[in-house]
Formats: sequence, structure tokens, C-alpha cells
Amino acid sequence: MLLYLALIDSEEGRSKFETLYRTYRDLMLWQAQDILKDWHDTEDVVHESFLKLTKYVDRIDDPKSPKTRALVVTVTERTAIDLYRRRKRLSFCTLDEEWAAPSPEIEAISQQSALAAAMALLPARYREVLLLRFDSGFSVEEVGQLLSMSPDNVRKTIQRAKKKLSEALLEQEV
Amino acid sequence: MELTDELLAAHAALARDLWLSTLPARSAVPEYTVSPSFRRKMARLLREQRRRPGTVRFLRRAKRTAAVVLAAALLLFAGLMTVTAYRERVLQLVMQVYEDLTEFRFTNAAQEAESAPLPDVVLSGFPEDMELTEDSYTPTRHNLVYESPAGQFFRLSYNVIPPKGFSGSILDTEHSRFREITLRGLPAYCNENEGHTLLLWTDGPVIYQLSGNLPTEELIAIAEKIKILQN
Repeated sequence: MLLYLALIDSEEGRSKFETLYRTYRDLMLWQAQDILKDWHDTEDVVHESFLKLTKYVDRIDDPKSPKTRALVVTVTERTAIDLYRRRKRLSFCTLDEEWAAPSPEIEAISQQSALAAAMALLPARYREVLLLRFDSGFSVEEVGQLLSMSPDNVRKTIQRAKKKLSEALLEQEV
Repeated sequence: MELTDELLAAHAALARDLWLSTLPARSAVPEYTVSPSFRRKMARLLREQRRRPGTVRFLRRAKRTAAVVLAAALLLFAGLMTVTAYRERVLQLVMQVYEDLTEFRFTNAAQEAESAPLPDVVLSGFPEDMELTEDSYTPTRHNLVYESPAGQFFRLSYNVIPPKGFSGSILDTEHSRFREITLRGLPAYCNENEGHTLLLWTDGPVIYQLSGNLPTEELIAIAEKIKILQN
């Protein structure tokens, strides 16, 4: 009954948002549940993620594109990890620091682009920031808003991600 | 290799696709059954996105012409203050009535340095099959939701306005029955809309909103029985 304030500006934005909901709701629930292992928290995270996304619907060209899928999953992942950290009261979260396990697809493609493969395998925080900044094209400030980080923290995270990537590529003698 | 922004941008799309390939395919994601609370929240969010452009246009037009605005700076519900003159008047209300919505803006003009603590509440008088399904608490806001297996629910949300602070709400009053009532010996507002009722009142620096799809009389009875425990 109470209205939320100002979020989406266009007719197109409205239908995009509904498409986002229909397309990604279950994937977002799966992802949040995978991190949180708590259904109540999972639903809260997905709702909060949709609220964040309402501010950026007008920036989405195709709701079903891989780029949009990455945006939706990234926002959900970060919202879930942040809640996980708050719940566990951890100052340091292993979820952020673990490198992803290489999949067959990544191993196959790594012959073409070691850099892309290394980016895909980065710990979540670094991957999220790099993809939002350099794939989706969000500004540092926007990345900060989407990931609940200060702009300074976003810049520092990008620098650390570059360092991690350099180390990973050196190990592969690229 | 120097990792420039341009180099990262050139490889980011492939990195994204590689990362996405590690996620389950759409066909492999289970179809989840979500709670009534989640369904309600998302339905509300979707509804709000659908209706917002018109609302925004209306608000802009209304502000521009100032023709349909009834602005009244009042000491809280001044018309009824004779009944409750002994109560401390803490919050000021500015109510703007538009064509299809009513905006409330509460301001705490107190000069104290510290905010009053948020009280605790004890609820009673609701149907026995209703259970607590949400209890979220911050230093300034408390939300409680009770639901029944049959889909009935009510939500009590209350927040404290700090000195020199303000809080606003926009109430959908289109096609609704909107009226002033007396609740807990205090002036209050009641809005009934499509089977949903909202009760709104203030007590000291605290704004209370009790809403749900229970009959209005039941919600009022629950509101009357709320026991407030000052911290």
C-alpha cells in the first residue's frame, strides 16, 4: 500500500523489470541460497537485489543478454555475501578470497585468452568489480552503489585485482 | 604484461561468458516455491514499477501548478488535540493530498541532542493461527509480520524520528476509504483499499503503521492492545 519512491522512469523500463523478474528470479534464489543456506535470508537478499536493480533498469539494453545475466548474478552474489558476512560477524570472509575452480570451458578457452580465463577465476569481489567496470561499463561510483562499496574502495579493489591477475599470469608464464 | 584498463575491457566480455558458463543452465535451476511474504513484497515492487511513470508525471504536474495541493503545517493532528492535549506534542505533520495519493511528512522539531530509544512492543489479540514470520530490527525501526496459513497477514512497522529529523510516507489513497479516527486515545488515520487496511498514528517521536488484510475492526483491536515497553 505504501509506495516506494522514484525508481524507474520509462514504460520500457517497466517491462524490462518484469522480464528481469521472470527470467532471473529462480537463478537469484538458487545463488543466494547456495551462499546463505537459509531460505528466509535468501528471499530477503533476492528482494534487496531487485530493489538495487530497479535503479539501473534503464541502462539495460537486453534483459536476457549474458551481460544482464552477469549483472543480475553479480548483484545477488554480492548482496548475499555481504549478508553472510554480517550474519557470521566476520571481518574477513573466505568467500571473497577463494579462487573459483576452473571448469572445462575455462580450461579450454585459457589457451586463447589466459587473461580472460584468469579474470573469470578471480575471487568473487575482484571479478565482480572488474566485470561491472570493464564489461558492463558502469562508472566507479555506480559500481560502488551496486556492490555497497565506496568509490575509493572500488578503485583499490581494481588495483588489487590487477595485481592478482598479474601474479596469476606470471605463474602461467604468460 | 601491463594490465591496462583497455586490456581488461578487451577481455572482459570473454571473462564474463566464461564465468557465466560455471553457473547452472536455466533448465537446471529449480523452480522455487517462495513464501507469501516474498510474493507480496515482489508483487508490490512490480506493481509500483508499473504505476510509477504516471505517478511521477502527476507529481510533477501537481508541483508545477500547485493547484491540487492542500498543504497544512500542523502540530500533530491539531484538530483532535483537545482530546489528547496532555500528550507531549513531538512530531509535526505536513500532509499533502493529491489526486490519487497522500503524502505524509513527519518532522521532529525537538532540540535535544540524542534520539529517544525505540520502544519494544508486545502484540496480542490476533487470530491464534497467525505466526510471526518476520522480525527485523534496527536502532530506529522495528518491523513485525504475522501470517496465517490461509494467507491473512498484518505488519506492524514503527520507527523513531530523531530530533531535527524527518520521515515521509506516501499513501495510495486512490479508490480508497481514507478517514481520521481515534486510536489508543490518539488521533490516527485509517486507509482501506482493496481489502487492505493501513492504520497510521504517532506517539511521542515514534510513527506506527499497522497494515494487513485482516478486517479493519480486527486491526484496530490489535492496535488498541499493543503494549509499548519503553527502553
